[in-house]
Amino acid sequence: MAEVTLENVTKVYPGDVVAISDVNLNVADMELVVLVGPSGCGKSTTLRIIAGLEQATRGNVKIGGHTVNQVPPKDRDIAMVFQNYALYPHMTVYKNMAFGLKLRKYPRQEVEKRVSEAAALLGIQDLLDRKPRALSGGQQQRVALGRAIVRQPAAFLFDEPLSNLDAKLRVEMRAELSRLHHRLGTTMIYVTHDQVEAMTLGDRIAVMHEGVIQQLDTPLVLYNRPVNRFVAGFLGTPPMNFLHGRLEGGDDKILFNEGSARLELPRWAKYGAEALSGREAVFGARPEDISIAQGPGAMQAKVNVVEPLGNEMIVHLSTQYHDLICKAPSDKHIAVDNEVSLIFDIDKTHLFDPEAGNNVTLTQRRHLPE
Amino acid sequence: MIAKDKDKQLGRGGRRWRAVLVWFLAVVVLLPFAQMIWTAQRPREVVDRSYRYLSQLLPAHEMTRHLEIAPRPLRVALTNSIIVSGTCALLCVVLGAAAGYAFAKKEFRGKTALFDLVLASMAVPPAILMVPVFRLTVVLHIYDTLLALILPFSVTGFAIVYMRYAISAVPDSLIESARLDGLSEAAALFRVVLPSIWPSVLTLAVVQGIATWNLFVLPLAVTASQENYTVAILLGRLMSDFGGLMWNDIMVVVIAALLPIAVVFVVFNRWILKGSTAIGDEHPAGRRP
Repeated sequence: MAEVTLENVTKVYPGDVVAISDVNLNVADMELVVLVGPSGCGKSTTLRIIAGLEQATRGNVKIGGHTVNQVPPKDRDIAMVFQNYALYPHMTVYKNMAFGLKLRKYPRQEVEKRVSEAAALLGIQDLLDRKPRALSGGQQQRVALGRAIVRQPAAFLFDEPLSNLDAKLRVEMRAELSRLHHRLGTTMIYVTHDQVEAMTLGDRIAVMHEGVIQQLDTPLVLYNRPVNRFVAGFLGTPPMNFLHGRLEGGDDKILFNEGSARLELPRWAKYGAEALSGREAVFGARPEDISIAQGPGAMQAKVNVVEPLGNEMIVHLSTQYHDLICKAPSDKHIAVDNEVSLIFDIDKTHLFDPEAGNNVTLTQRRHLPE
Repeated sequence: MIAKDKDKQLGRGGRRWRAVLVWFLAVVVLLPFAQMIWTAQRPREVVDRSYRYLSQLLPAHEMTRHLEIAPRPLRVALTNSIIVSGTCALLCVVLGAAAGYAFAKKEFRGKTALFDLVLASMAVPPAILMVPVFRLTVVLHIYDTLLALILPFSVTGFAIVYMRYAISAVPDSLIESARLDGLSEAAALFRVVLPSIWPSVLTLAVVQGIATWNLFVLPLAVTASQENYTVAILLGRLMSDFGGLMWNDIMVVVIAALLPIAVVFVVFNRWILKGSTAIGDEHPAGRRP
């Protein structure tokens, strides 16, 4: 049990390749923080620096209040679960789980007790005598978890632990990990590129891009109040729609001119107009905040593709200037190639700076759900 | 599968001819072994008589001199061979693994050039090294000791290259996992990495052991006394130094030289096959993504 803190951690690889830059992260005791981002964003490097598998070029890593920059991985009191499980292929499941404890010279009874407890917790008691190659992917994953659990570390580090599982098993293990976190109450840092995993597992999520933490907050705040275009576009499937256009109008009324249509924006858009001062604006709307109407709407679009999912439909549309994706109820009759009109849930939309990418009106909109 | 398909294509007549050919080749291959065993069991006179008959067909030999080959030199030579081959096999694995690990998993200045040098060393026939190795053993004061037979073969270019590719297949995460579990880097190599690729390790040990067992020219250059003969040297001396050709004695030594290798092959056959095909396969602990 411990908090994990990163202070201004920077990692530069030979050849001046900056993997992460000035990362500050404070993971509270018993908290589960997810580092999420596309590949190459620096999330794995960050985790490996916490584990001690890589050295930070600058900055401090603290575990349980102690600076561990110079502490070797084995003495950091952390356990790590790898994407490919990294089980020792020549050892049985029992030995795989007991290995770390034996090296730390725990008495045999204690080793046996911890292994059998962890095995019971994960439902792998029957597998203890098997070798890893005789196990399915899901079972290997459980053993890898068990190997981490028996150590009773101050913090667990997960490096994309579910990526090698098939979709169904991934959902199962995701729920199981969540259950384990509640049960064990240990600090966990979890790296993934899968935003659904991030949203469902994390107490808080750090969205990383190009070596920088873009936003660190609870899942719903990230979803509803993204600080920039990257965060807005990264979380959510299908992703948020971005329309390029200009803000028009004066004090009483602000319009977003998409090219083929004008959307009337609420009062908060005024701050956007001030911030952008005549430059282009990027208007963002999530697929579920756009609905298809029969009569007249704010914008006309042509239906290109309809993807029925059973519970809902994903509809791909295009205006003269933009492609959009929206969600519709599954019982709605929408025919391909038809012209439809779109209605925006305008209070949930965002305005972004086209160059800097920041959400220009966010600070003025306290009413946005959190 | 392919063999079965071919079976069908051949037809019955074809299969029969193939069987005849296979048996014929088997006899050709096994005949020298049969002769070896036959010769070794027969009394001198019988052997001499039959070989004299043979020698009328072949260039004639004088078989006049007598040497009773005492069991002792053979026993000493066998012991020496086992010690030398065993130690070399072990050292090749240990040193080959250490060097191979560095080439597989570490980055350092001059790595490519150094590895090319190792590769090039494989092309040098051992016999060329006879004079330098001889001089070295003299300088190190180990001439005519077992150490002189072991040291030059304690690691080979082949061992390093082989271990490099075997260890390359081991995912980094396995090593990192071992380090998090509390092993030092060296301990991780010998307690986790090598056991995880043990068919390859065993194959290397066997191949190196047999290669050392069969060495003749270089060991000949660094040994003088019978105390330090290996089986191969003893055999060579029997066929040259003592002048005459005591075929039955020679065949006893030949059997002694062959038998351990045959046993090793029979015992380890399955794993050697696995080890020699394992390189390039996916490591049991999975690929690194």
